[in-house]
Amino acid sequence: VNLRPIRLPPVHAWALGNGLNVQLVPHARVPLVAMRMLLRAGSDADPKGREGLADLTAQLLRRGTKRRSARALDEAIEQIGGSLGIGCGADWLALRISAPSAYLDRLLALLAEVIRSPKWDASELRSTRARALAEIASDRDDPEWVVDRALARQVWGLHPYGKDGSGTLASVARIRRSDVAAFHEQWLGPRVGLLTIVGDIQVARAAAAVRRAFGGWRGGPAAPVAVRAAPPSPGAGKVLWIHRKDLSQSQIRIGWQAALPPDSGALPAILVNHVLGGSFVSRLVLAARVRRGLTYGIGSHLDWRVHGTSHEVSTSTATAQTGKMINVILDEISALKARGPRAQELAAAKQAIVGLYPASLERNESIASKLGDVWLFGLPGDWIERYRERVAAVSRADAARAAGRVLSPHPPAIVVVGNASRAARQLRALGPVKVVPLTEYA
Amino acid sequence: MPLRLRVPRLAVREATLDNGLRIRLLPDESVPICSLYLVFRVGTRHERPGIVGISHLFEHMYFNGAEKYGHGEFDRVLEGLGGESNAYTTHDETVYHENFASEALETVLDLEADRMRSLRISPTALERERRVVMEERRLRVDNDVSGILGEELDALAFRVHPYGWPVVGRMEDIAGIRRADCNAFFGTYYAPNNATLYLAGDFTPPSALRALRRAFGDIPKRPPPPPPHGHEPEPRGERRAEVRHPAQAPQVLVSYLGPPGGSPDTPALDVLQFALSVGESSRLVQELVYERELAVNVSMDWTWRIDPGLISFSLDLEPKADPRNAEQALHRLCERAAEDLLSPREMERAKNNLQAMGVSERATAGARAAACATYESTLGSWREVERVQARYAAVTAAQVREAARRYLRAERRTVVTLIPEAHR
Repeated sequence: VNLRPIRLPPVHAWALGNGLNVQLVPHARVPLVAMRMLLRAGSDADPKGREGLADLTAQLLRRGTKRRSARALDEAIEQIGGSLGIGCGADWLALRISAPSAYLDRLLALLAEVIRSPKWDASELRSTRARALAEIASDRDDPEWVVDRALARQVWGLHPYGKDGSGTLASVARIRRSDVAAFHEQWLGPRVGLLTIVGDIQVARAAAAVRRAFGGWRGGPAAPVAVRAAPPSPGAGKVLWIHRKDLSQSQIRIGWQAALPPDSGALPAILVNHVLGGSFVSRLVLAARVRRGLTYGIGSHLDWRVHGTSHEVSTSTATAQTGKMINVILDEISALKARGPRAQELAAAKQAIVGLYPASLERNESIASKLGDVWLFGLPGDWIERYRERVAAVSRADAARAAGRVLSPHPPAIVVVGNASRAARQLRALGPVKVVPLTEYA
Repeated sequence: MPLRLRVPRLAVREATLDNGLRIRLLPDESVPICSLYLVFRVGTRHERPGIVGISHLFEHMYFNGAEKYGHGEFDRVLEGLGGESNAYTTHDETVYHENFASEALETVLDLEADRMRSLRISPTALERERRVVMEERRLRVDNDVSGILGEELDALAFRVHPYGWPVVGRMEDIAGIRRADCNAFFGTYYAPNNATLYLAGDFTPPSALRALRRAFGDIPKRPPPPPPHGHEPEPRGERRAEVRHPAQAPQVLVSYLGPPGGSPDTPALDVLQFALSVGESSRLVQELVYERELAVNVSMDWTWRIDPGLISFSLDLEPKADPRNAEQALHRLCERAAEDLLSPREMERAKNNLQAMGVSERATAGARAAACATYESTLGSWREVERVQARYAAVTAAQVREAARRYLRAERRTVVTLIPEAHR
């Protein structure tokens, strides 16, 4: 493994008096800048019965401030070649602007205006909610969306990670202006925020602009919402089949909760996942695609989040092969769990992760995103600089232990979206099979 | 005010080997990685009925072993060196792409040259990849509403030209492609003189060029492939289709037959695309989504192609919406673009966004190589990357209106509407 040093741009980090964390990263390769306001608040703070509130709040933030309409705001950013994106996940909400760096001051002022003084216009709320409802309805047509959402529910149950951040038709329809305003007041503020600015900037000047735009920001929580520990997976050892008669291919997901040690303790599990299904030469790809031609795509993914991690295998195959495919996957998981990766597999996985890591530090946006992850997950300050050497230091014994612990500690949850009348009976040996129609499910 | 961004230089070194392989080197030592694009000038437009999808199936076969590196070795060796590979096929070209730690350069060139020199198409591998591609078709087309609609639109918009055929192929053609077809395809199109190699990243050009000559220099040149056929006649009137499929909400796709990517109208159409559809403040988003609430999402696609391609619009609607309302509103917007000039602010915004995108396109060596490959494939020269911003700057509102008049006409239009049926 070659660990030739990578030239990281310097990170100037401090906190404003109001608690807002700030990182300025001069990276002058192109005359552009990426800014990212990351807030530790997401759909895990949605009140019961108002699922989708964080997501709707994120969408509504850009639909007008106390000083300007949504259109004026969009034009102010886009007229100078910039773009604004706002999104949220279970544990975070992010506002991102990419733009020519010459307009840094103006863009910071706009970013501050969006997060600090939204208007929550009644008609904007009505139309934004209507669009959100239409999207939730259309998402049901996408077998991959349905199967992912169903797996989350089977793995996490009533924990916030079991719910979809976009909410349901019923919960989103209930959301009022007062809910959105209360969410903003209660959960979004400087003490749970990180502002990262990467690009062609002068540090002193950018720091002054940050103070002007955000120094007076007050309110919001002292800490993010408390999230309770996850219950055991309600779907463990069970098969849920969502029936759609028109499909000729099954979407398959297999998942479980994976207890990851913090920080670099998680790296052996990341390598084990790489060997299982994290690359194009992974065991799952070789077994299902290269040797058997059962699928176009198969992979596994550690969904590492602030309050817990799930491990998931995703694939699709023609309806008649559904049972065969699931058995191939379960066999591969068992074999890797029992013996861990072979020395050569582990070496190749390390080489792949280490070799391409510098590519993830080339763009302003990806540097900002990496720094945001370090903050959100409370990782060590030297995480990025020493990531490659820490990966390289994982031993085969570490990986074998991680495989034993992380890979399906209990029987996994299995979810299929497809034509049940053709194939559901193939799965009887895997556990109780429940077949539900799409209309009842989503 | 108009942007005047400093645009990073491309700094391309060109060479052509004796066997005709064109080489473009883009050195950049800022990060210890390399990015390689190998473009073969073959895609769906070179196919014929009966073997539609062979370019794409062949792209799969290209990973299945050659003389030195056998079946499964390509990706295994590459990953062991800290690399990853990818590939894609379009109607115009087939592209192989690797990212890797720069120490691996010699081996990656050896891997690429091995398969160009001596690909082996085994019957077992062909049967397996055929099944994999069938799964890909089920995933992307047969079980995906937008895939179904897109295929319907292309088939209707092109009567003659292979742009109407699906890149992934038709199921019966995927089933029927023979090993002999694949061997003939390889012999005809996978010649060094039908390819261009782009290498970007951490290397010194003289030693990289020596390594390229060592790796590819002995692969023989072959007769130039026959030109593709299929000239699309000028359409004489609107074409329409309905698709009935289980879905929650209607959708409308509208396309107009446009010019080839290399047309002098292209810069004006790019400006038009940005003014109409790129960004929240663009016309389509403002009027159809926010002001009149006729659509939930709108998008416009104008992708440069070698032959005349489509200018396409897609409208996602609310479940109870009448698709005719959104469609009529879209037609009216297109008519207005052909009648009235864009405002100076709209022109400026579109050009500024094109400029910012162009600079972002050059932020990394890999992105610069990808841009060079795209421009050279569709416009004939990578130098177009250097010229394009000046072309955008020179576009006038009158030229944009003229381009809209020429192409956004009812008789060039194809409309496909999704009529939802209940899920059963």
